[in-house]
Amino acid sequence: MTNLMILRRTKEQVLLQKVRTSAERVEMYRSAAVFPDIQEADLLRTTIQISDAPPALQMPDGDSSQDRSVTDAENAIRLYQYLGEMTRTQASDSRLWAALSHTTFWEYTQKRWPVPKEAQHDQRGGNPVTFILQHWFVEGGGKAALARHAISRLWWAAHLTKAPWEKDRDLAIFEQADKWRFTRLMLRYQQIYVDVMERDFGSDLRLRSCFLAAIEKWLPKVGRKGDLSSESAKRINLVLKGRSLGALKVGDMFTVCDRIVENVARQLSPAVARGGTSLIQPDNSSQVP
Amino acid sequence: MATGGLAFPHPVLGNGNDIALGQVEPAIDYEASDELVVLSVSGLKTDNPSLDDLVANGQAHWSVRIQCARTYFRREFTTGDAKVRFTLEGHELDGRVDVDVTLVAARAISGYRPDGVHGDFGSTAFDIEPGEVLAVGPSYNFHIDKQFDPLRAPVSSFMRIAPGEDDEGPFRVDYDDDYLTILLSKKDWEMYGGVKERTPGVVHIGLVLPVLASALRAIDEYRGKRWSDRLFAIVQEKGLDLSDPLRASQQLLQNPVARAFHELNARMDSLDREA
Repeated sequence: MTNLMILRRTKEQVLLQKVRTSAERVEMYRSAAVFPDIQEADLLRTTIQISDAPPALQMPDGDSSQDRSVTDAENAIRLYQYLGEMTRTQASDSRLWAALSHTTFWEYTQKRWPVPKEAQHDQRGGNPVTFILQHWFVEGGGKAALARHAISRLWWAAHLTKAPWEKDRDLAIFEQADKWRFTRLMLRYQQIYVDVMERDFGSDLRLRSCFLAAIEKWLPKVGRKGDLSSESAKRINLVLKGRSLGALKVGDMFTVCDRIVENVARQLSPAVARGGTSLIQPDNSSQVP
Repeated sequence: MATGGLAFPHPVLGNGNDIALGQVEPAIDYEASDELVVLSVSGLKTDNPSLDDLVANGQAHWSVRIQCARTYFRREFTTGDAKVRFTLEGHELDGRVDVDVTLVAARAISGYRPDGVHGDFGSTAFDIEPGEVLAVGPSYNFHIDKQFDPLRAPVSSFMRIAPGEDDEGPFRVDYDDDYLTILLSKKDWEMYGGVKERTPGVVHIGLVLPVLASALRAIDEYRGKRWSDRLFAIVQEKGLDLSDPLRASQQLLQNPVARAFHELNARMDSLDREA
């Protein structure tokens, strides 16, 4: 076992500043085999014990962001098993994640989030500096920043979705043998990930679980998987303005989420609208939308 | 109706001029340490007879939603009492914490037509579903700033509690290990399992506080031990006066006595409510 290390605050600030001001530094994030600018003295030893052997994360492949997201769920599970159950305040510390993306998981971060060229305004956000700040650092704090960082996003996704029935027995209605059931679902489709991680209701264990269970139920019935999630999340947000779903019993909460997702599914898919299919089976496909 | 606030399909107290009679103005107070956050909400009433009656007869209850964006924390508590206290683990919250208090339907309500409803609603009576908002209060927020490095818990980084060799009797302290170790008798260790999560404040004043004071007195004698060096670094960082170890221990634990009293009061209030 060894102690998890984090960046010293002053070093984190220096690294941030260099990204903002040095074109050479930006190029380093594109191509350096290892990050050369962190020495042992730049790190603080925490009291968190982790294995000596970090996990071999699956290296993402492909040109599109969809291709590269295929390994997210499996990597989230491996990373969570490696880092373990930190507290929320520990896991929201920007220095921890910046240290990991620049050291242990440097190569993974480069491959999962390849820095775009200067003039490349694609879906990954064209500005390379902004891109590095988003995926190598937790800049600005808050859940949106944690949800974008290359490593913290994996840990938090696993933490928030692993076996929710073990944290709250009222969620036993969702219990299955696979503890990572919702982790796999959420990371299979990036839109679901964004809808859960960046919306306020995604921070509520019960609401999050009900939303994911409802999405899982209706997902196989529609072709536009991302639209099912985004439109359903929008409607749940709207309902939350006038109705306190968090004050409902879990069964009632799920019924509300289920009806909302069902209505969206019916609008998106004529087959569902005709009511011709069974809705019991979960989605086991591995296709990325 | 929408009058400068949200558009609800039924009259909501606190939403524009939907309902002229009553108001929601609870008082919110909190105390935070690294270990615990105690949130007290009082004044949970509307002064609107029909809404207060709904609470009294269990058709409506207060929902207190606590949210902390930085730690992905959001939880909703419900109560029918005018005063309530919540105890959360300190590590759940960091930075800005938002608290929203609303009155919501605890079950379906038919023929809802509260006193003082605006004339624009005419003589309409509404059917309300469980969870629908009946009254809204102002939003509150406060900031929790961790005084210690969150990755270096102040006490757990140098002290631990473990079972000892004795079957029963007083606890012992091992100063010779890397960690300052409190050794409980086997009988006490069993009981400790039942209180450490539920009433950590009691553990702090009953075990941690006296042992910490004792350790501060002996800190020089054990220099070079991991626990002693770590404790010394924390004392330096906080500028504590070692000539009064008992006072320094309380400062280091951030007023453990007050915290334990809060914790016990909250637990006994809860038992009183259940009785």
